[in-house]
Amino acid sequence: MIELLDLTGTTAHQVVRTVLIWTAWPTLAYFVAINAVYLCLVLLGFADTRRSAARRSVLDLAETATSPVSLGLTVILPAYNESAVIIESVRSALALDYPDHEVVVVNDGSTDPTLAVLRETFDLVESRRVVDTGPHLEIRGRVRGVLEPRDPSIPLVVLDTENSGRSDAVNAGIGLAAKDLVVIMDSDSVMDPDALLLAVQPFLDDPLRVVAAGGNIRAVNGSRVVAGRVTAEGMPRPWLARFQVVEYLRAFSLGRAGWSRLGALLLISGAFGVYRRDVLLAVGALDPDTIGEDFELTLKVHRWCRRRRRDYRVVYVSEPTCWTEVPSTLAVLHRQRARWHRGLWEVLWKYRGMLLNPRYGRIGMLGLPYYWLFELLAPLFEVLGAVIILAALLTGAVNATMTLALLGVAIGCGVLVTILSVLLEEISLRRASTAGDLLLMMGCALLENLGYRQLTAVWRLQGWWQAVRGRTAVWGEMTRSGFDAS
Amino acid sequence: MTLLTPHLILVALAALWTLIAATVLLILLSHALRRGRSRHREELDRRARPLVVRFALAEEDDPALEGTLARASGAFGDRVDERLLSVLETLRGDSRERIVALLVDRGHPPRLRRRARSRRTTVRAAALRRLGQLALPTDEDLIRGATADPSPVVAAIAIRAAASYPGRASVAAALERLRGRGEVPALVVVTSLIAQGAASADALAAIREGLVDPSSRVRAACAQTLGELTSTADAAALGRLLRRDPTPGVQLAAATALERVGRASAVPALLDGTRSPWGPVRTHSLLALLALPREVTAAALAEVARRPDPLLTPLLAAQPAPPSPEAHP
Repeated sequence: MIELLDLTGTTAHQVVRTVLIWTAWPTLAYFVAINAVYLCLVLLGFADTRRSAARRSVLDLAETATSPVSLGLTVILPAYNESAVIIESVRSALALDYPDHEVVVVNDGSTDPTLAVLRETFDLVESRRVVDTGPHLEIRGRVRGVLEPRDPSIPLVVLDTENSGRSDAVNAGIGLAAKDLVVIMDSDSVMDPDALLLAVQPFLDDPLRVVAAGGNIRAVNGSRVVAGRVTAEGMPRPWLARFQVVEYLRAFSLGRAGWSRLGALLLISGAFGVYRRDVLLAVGALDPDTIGEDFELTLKVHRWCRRRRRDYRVVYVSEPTCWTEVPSTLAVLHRQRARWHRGLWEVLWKYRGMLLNPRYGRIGMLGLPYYWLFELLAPLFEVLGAVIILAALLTGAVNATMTLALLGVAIGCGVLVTILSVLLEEISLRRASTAGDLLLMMGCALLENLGYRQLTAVWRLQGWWQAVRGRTAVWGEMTRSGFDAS
Repeated sequence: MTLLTPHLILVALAALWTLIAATVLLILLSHALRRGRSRHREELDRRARPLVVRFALAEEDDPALEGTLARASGAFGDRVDERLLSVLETLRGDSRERIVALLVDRGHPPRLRRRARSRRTTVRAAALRRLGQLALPTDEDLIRGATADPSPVVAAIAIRAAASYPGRASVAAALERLRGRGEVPALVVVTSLIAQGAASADALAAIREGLVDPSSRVRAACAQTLGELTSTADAAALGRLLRRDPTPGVQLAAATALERVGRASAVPALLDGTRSPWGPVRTHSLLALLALPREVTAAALAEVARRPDPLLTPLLAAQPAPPSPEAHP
């Protein structure tokens, strides 16, 4: 037996052994369960993505682009102090391939010249359009004005409101939107030109049953962006961003696709989701008091439909892609992960009545238990596990060789899931990666286990702890390095 | 924990990491193969493209060029076929006929017919797509039969290809697929029906009959198609569908169609539509009302404006203001 410290017979040794005896079986059960779930999600994700790729091969996007059958769509761009990028974002949104779309920019009380540059660039004049949110949606920020270009051929509307936060600004935009579908975008995100055409396909096939669809999100760091379009894909230089590229790949290729296939998709990412406007108005759209507002909205839509016994679908579409910048510094990543986990906790707690409630079908019986057990509690188990193993090794309470072998199995399971998502990406031909990028991604799958995952687990626990203690949530500032156009 | 013997743990560890190594190898192999094929294809395309373009644009016959293209074989021949077919989509009249004749001369259609019976879905689908582009009379039954293919991908391609043979039988074949489990995108069927309805009176009659089909998906597709064919003759039937059909999806299709082919007689049905419990039905009923002349819809629009409906208000507000009397001399 390899012992780092000879503490046999000491109290520390006894305590660690007792802890190990009591936690061994639950830990093993949790490990087997989480990996069984991941295996199922991997298989379902493969099936869903293959099906989606087959469907893509028969869909002629020109059909959608020219078809009068297509549904109208409003792109909502909330903007707060975005004067540097807003014009490019609006032009990029206006230039998206879609037969009938309008862009609603909500100037959320910017203190910089965001509104002025919009007014000057698009020659804005007062509009007759009004914000009407109906009885279920309340807007906090006072509307200061609605503007539209003097040239009526530009499908743009600018809503100027007092500062009230992103969610409230989006809600005001929903109240002003005049199309069937609503897409919420961030002004620092970049969509592929055909993203809208691909994202609306489920609505075209089944316009009344499909109430929401989520698209694929990827990290734009390292890719080349010209005139609001990703023209060359690549891996970023900092390892921190590289790990996140792989994380996004795994979460979307396998996680979301698998849950969508199961009919229990619980999260449509705020960066790229398409919703039916009538449903948003009926459920009250985004909750301005929630941090995980995208998760909250998806759950709210599920609850609303289930309570009314609606035959409905919330789906993930793997083909359309929205590119977003991921944090490239530890401080920003720390804030982001703490906020995400805090949001997860708040939403799960708010909707705890749906948990294991047969009235909510697969959402209550399958999706929510998974989120409680394997998303909310995962960092707790991860950190506790690391501490106990370290203590056991230090005190000689376990056989070090066998412990390291078990650790190898645990890490191997995680690496395999990530590698499979890279394989899926490669065979579905969605990503134009070089061999070097592929090797980097696979390297990240291994290296992320050596510190990165543990660090993010600690940050997530911190976020949870802050929420439990009732500390006020702080969004912080996302330091953006801008898109690489070189 | 006697279950977890050291032997079992080590076997699991070795098996897992072997699997990881195999997957990594598979990814790299797949990538190398894909890149290799892609480069080879690009190289062949670089040789084939100028020859095909010269042939397609030639004012007069060029026997030497035609001979070169006719004799192209192997992988290069496949790329020549592919380039000829892609050019085919953009041409009409004599140029198109010359390219079809060259493809027939190259023995392309028999190869495609063989591939259309392949066991591989992608091969069948690609062959049917090309046969549809050629639109040779001998392939009509083959393509129509393929609309019943067990693979939804192949069926969707065949439905699109069937638009090259417009008529009652092709419409029936396309609609039949909608009665199934809904694996074929409705948009593909509607696009095929639109092309057929525009080209053949027989097909149009069959589409009109679809408005009373027992399947709601068929009724919805036919309503959408008739709306696109911009014939106000169908406004009354579509109005009836909007008012009386029990399926909201069909009501929505009828309302959408009436946006293009509405008539004054459809106003009562559209006004009813603006009261539907289904948001999209209300929206499109109002859009259809707004598409009609104000003289016939003024009263209906005034009634809609009186009702507070957050879905409809932005649509009414988005309309251009009526010209003020002072603006006119």
